Amino acid sequence: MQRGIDRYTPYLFVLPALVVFVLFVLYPALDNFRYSFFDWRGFGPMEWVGWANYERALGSDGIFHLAFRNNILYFLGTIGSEVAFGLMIAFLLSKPLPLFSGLRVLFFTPMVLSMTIIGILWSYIYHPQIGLINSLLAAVGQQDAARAWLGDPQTIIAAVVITSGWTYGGFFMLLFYAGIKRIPAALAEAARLDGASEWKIFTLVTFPLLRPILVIALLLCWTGSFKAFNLFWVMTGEGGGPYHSGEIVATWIMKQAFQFSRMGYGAALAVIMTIVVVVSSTAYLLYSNRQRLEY
Amino acid sequence: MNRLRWKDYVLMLAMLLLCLAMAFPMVWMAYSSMKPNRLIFTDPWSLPEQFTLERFSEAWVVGNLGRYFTNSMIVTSTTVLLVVLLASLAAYAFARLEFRGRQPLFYLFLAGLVIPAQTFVIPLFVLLRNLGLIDSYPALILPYTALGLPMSIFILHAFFSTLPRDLEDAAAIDGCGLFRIYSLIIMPISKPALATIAILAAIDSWNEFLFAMLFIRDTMTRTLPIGLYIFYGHYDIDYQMLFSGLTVATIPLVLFYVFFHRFIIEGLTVGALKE
Repeated sequence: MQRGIDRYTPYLFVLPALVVFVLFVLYPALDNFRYSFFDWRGFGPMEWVGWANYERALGSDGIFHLAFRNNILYFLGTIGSEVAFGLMIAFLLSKPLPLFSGLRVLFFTPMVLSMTIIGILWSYIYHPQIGLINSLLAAVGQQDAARAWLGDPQTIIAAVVITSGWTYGGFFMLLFYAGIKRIPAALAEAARLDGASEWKIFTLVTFPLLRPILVIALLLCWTGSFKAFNLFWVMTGEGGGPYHSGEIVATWIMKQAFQFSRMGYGAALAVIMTIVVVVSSTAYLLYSNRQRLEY
Repeated sequence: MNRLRWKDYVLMLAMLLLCLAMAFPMVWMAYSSMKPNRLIFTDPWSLPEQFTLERFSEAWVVGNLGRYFTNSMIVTSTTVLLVVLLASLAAYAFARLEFRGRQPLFYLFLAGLVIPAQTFVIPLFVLLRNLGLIDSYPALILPYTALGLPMSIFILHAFFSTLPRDLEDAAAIDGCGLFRIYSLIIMPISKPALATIAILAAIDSWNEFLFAMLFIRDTMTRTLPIGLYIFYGHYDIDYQMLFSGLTVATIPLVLFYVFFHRFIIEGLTVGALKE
């Protein structure tokens, strides 16, 4: 192979992509680390403060801790609303019945909408006066249960979790559906002939074989919880809601850096978040791979 | 296929109902744009009394949606062209050519799959400001291209690796250079994979919010997601206007999905499974 090929030619193929990627992702990502040791308002001189930003983030910044807790709550919630929901639909829609291929396509539709449109739309579904949910509650005589779903610290995260499930449920459905299709039909058929119920087939045959996909799905949920920004920003009034009850790490970083002009502090929060996400994801993948080997 | 049993009909009916319930928020948005505010307020569930699209053009004009739409088109189409070009060149080298540093460079790009935007958005903002790009289209096009590269290179690398080498070998014997092999042989037979990454990049850049909010403050270059968000801020109690604007902005996306759903589903799920 490679007769008469200049040994530098391959680099010409890679170079354009590399330049753009390094300049606009990698270099800023490393530079962010440097920023985190400074006090800087975004213009004027930068003042070196050592570990002060980190001490503050891990020590006195209660809202950052609350935001972190909210990220974890959101993650736990989306395991139900996105992963479990998607898995259930995938299993039900995997039967070779008419309509079902069309329904799978339909379920996926929200994935192409922008989070901005979805966030605004669902703000009105949860709206205290014109909201679909409250007027439904009123129609069935449960006015007392009505509330401002996005204005109540008790329900704000759950409300976003449900909207998230509406958006990403179809995505996880198709992930699991692809996995289910790869399972030989003979396995389920054999169980069915032995008189197993559909529930038994799901729990004892389908579910264990979907484990590799489940591992990925949970990872996507976890990293997704830290990538989430748009939906929270739109639905909780620029990330916050009452008493920061809807604050997540991503919204708090953006407020610190771009509303309070604390670039260095925002950068430190971003470093902490990145370390948490990368370390936990790596550990999780190593752990789940080891488990698979033990089988 | 076996004949359907009553259980199958129950399941089909249940799934159909669930699907309708899932679709209802979008349907509600569309028909609420035909109801006066008074009716939306008194009975949000009720159907409109008449079919009308009268507020659509009004929302389009007062929301400045035409401008934002054009800006989004410019940013998205340029981003897609750049992603397809740069990613296919790089992925071809990673899949087919031998050179020192191939593996490490490939993994460098893959690292981009896990980095959250918050990790680099602050220095990126400063960089773009120093380059004098804030409020210009490149302030979005360049970062969107950079963000689109990892997944695109990943998908194309997997695709190129499955192609038979015979054609390339024959062309090489005929004296074809690498760039000619890439452009005359690899590109034409990779259209499905290229379509997948193009559509992925298009959806991502069309819907991107954070960078668009931070890097563009000028109405003349603002893109649709931020434009809609500002529209929402202005007309949050003019429900009919708001729903008209949202519906107008949603229709192109739904049409896009109707036409390209196979590629979209392929691109969005295959990438995740191979990670």
